Amino acid sequence: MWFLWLPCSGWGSIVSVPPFTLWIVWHGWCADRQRKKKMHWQNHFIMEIPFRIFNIIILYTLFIWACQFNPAPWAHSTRAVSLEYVNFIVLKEIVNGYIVLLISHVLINLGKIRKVLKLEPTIDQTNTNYIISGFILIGLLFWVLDGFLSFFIFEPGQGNLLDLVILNIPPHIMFIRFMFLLTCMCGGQLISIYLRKQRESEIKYEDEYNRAIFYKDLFAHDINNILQNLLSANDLISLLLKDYEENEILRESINITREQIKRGAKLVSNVKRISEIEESDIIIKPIEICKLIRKSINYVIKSFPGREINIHGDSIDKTFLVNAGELLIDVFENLFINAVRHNNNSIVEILIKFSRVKKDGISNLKLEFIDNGQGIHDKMKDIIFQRADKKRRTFGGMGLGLSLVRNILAKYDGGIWVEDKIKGDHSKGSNFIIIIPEVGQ
Amino acid sequence: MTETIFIIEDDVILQRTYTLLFRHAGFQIIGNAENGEEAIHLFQSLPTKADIILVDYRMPIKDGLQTTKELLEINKDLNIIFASADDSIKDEALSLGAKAFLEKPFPFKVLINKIKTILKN
Repeated sequence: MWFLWLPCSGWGSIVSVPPFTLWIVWHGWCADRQRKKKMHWQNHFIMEIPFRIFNIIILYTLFIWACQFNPAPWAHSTRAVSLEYVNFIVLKEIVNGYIVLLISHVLINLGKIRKVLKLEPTIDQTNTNYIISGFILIGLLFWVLDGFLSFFIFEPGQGNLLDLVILNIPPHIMFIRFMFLLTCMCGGQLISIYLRKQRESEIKYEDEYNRAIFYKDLFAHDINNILQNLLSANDLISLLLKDYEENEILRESINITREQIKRGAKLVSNVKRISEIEESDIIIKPIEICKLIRKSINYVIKSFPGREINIHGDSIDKTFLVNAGELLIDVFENLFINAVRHNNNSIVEILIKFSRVKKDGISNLKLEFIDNGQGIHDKMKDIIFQRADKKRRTFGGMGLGLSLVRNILAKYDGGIWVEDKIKGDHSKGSNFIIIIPEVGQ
Repeated sequence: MTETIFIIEDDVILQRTYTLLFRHAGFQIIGNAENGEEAIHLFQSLPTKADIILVDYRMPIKDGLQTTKELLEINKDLNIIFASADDSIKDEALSLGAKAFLEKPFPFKVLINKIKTILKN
């Protein structure tokens, strides 16, 4: 500030301008650093910086008084700059400092700028105060623009450009500009609050989602380890009890344990598959459907070594190409497993029929899986496919297999429903019908 | 000659069950480790090379993939079988050089068949 009293009317202020602007920016930066520990409503542009500027003005005023009452020996009164001019420079530099702070505040929050400055990309997502700064800058831009328009278009000859922008503004124009600036500030504040709340909610959702994924993985992994322990122990028992095959009760107990372990493992696998379908995009490509059916038949026969299973169909050995993906194998495995589990007959019979139907003008392959099982009651015909639905959690009993089947087919633009094998008598068995788009049709 | 097995599994109960099953099936257990780091140290001090190394994936200190990598750096001809509840690393495990991948839970006879096939080849 001593520079302002240098015996020259003008250039002293030029020397003083950069340090003064830097002084304001420095305080703004300090305030910004301190703000991080405070609440969101304690906006540093409204709270901290004005307070610091107020302190500077107080010091500056005391300094001027000191100079007036006891001037520096080299500051000759006739050659010193006027007090009015000094005041103007101080005010101008405060505004300049503020604008620099506002611009830097907006820029520092832009990802590309942070990258150029090699700053950490991860910033506080809930800090949306820079939006207020942006809106204030828009208000100031309007202020300057209005001055320019007044000078060049609306009121030419009413004063010079500096007068119309800042020095000599008519009261009604000043009112309009202030009101616009205030509206920008309020608008910025509202948008900032809205975005902050939205981001907080997104972060909360993301945290919960990641936690759910983590628990799902942990659960799936640990349950499978437990099942492995049970299965290995069961294998050990059956190896040690050489005559267990002859003891009907022992054989049945060991087989029940084995089957329940497999059921548990399939449930874990289905939970994983359902979440995979929900989380990721499914790749659709031409799939040879009969190949997957044959693979699934082998799987289900191996899975139930104690059951006699007869799965047959005229076209199983033919080639049909459908637009689907690798998950289609889970559809058949689950359908066959359900057909075997819910069948009390000594021989499980499943007949597979192939035909073609048109759906929305597209040719679909229609597959019917007709079994001789317990059948499905009419009231349950829709519900069995909805167990994994988030809104239907109250009933139980049948695992997630058919929900998974429905979800997989839905991803491939296919569908599934169930009918009675013999219409009107569900107890004779079921007919699960799936349709899936064919390739090149 | 009895085939030798080295088990790397953090679940001590499963480790014990594997040991009993392998012994019953006529294999010799030459080492048990609860994590990858312990496995590397133990493996280097073994007087004979294990015919089969059974490795779990998720283990403390050093996971199964890293352990497989380091074991194969020591001896690239090792027969490593992955036995994990996490099938998402199957491709990575096989590309590293594991001879087989079994997703838990699996019956013991599946493991035995796999071992026989590997040793035959």
